[in-house]
Amino acid sequence: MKHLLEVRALHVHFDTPQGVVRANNGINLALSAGNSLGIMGESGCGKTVLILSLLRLQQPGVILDGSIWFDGREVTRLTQKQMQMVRGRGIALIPQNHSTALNPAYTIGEQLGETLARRGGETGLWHMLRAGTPGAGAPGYENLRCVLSDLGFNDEAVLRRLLASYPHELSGGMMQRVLIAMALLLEPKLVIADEPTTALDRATRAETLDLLGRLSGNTTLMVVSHEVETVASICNRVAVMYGGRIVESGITGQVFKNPHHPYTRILLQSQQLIRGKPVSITAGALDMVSFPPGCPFHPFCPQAMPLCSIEEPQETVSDGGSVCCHLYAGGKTCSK
Amino acid sequence: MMKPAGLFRRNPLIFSGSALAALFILAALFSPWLAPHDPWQYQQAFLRPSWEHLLGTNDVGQDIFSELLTAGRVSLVVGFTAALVAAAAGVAIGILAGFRRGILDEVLMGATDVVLVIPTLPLVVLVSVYLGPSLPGISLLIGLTMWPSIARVIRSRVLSLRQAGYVESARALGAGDWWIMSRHVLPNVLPLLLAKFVLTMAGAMLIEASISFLGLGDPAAKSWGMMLQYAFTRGGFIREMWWWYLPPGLAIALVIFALNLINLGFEEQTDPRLKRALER
Repeated sequence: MKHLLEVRALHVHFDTPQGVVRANNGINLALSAGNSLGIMGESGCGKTVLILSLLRLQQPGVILDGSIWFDGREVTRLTQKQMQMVRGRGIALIPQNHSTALNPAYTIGEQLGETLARRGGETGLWHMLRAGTPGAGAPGYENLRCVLSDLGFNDEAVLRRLLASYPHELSGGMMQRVLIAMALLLEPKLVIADEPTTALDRATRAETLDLLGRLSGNTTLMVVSHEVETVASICNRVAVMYGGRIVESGITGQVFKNPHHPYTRILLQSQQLIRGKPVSITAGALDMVSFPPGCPFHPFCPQAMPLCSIEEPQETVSDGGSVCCHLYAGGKTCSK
Repeated sequence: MMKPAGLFRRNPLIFSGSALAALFILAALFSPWLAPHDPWQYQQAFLRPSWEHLLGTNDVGQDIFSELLTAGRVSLVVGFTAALVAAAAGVAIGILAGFRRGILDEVLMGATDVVLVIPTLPLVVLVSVYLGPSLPGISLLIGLTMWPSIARVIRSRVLSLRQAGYVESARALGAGDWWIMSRHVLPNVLPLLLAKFVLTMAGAMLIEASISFLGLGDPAAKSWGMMLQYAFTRGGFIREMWWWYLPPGLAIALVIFALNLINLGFEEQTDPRLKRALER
């Protein structure tokens, strides 16, 4: 089956005064339509850079090498004008920080109206000035009502009040839902949620997880999170990132039940999802500038071998997943 | 966002400034009906204030009170037009430079710095000597020398706005630069622009008055600066006719004071930290 999204050997580097930061260092990724993929990893492992690169918004980072195939097109070769059609209508991003993602100068209705105008491909000045709160009967209003009622605003009075309010009048959970609605209004082929549950309280979090879980049933979804719980409840596939690479990927249930890569095991242990004493690896977070040779995880790996510090491990593909570790280089099965 | 009416009621600075400015604007606007005499009509010269001539008459016998009301029109219109030109140029250049960055930013800010260091008054004096006295010319000229400070302030605000979450999410949903600049950046710099506009108008009025006082204004159009100039050259000061030279000077001072009050109120409103600092 043809993949909706396929990333091959993606390298994204940042040139900083301290040296070159290798934020993405050879990412391979594939996602078929209808699936939902969770991307996990600690802060600074390159998750956000990866999804921004898919939209070509990784500046000042530079895509040095690799290709991104989305819906039959090579994203890295598109012009800025073509990219504007991919952003939103092809790949829609639900931004990480919901409290700043809405413009304080407009009502929710005006901002959703703007999104509706964009969906029609209207980018002219006239459409921009006209894009206001869609009233009942306006083109797209039914669509708006449909999306918002799926998100829990199913009462007509509640909906009207929501459209008339400014962002500062909303709670965090409501803002989150508005942002999800904004992404869905564009009817994208792929929805990306960047850290959808951080900065939310327990109740709102559960609500958001529930929403995204239902969403994953009828659209292709990519969720970036450092929380195992989020990925486990939404995604049917998971990719674990470390040091700008995907170290392990596979079907969520299998990876979580039987992690192969030592890093995955430690990550799961740290969030107490598998048995074993939580291990701290914060003693030495990976320095992304002076990258260690060989496997990036070997300085912290409890199962490191001499080979690990010399040679970079290659990807080993096995039943529906892959792992990037010398332990499995010979096609060996997992031995604890 | 606050309703404009609430802004006037809640901020005493804006309220008092607007009331004072409105007094002068309305007086100028309705001067044909308010003025007791035709300001151009020659009557008896050098009359002292009386009920017939509230502020007396000048050297050619024109009623000074009627002159004062009419002259406000030119002073205010020149100030307003100049501020409009400066604000339009300043906001366009500021947003473009701050949002696009790169080489465009360098070029535009370089130009801004150059215009910023040119002393406004001597330049306007020099150019108006060559161009001759014309109101639209002077308004445009003043406006074209006053945009740099607006451009700088707007640019620095845009530098932080371009990093705002909603700008990034608009871009992620496929919005282009022009769309973001006009739909998302512009409305968020408007409060700042309004404050700067009022301040620029005050500055422009002062420059217009200076030029007119130097005798470089349009002699066919009465302005407060022009009245001062006639009072100075035609013996108003020597004869100690304070009712001739004091009112136009006071009018200029009061309007500028009112505009500064409004500006202060706007700044306090957009940056509440300022208010706390003032109260301390």
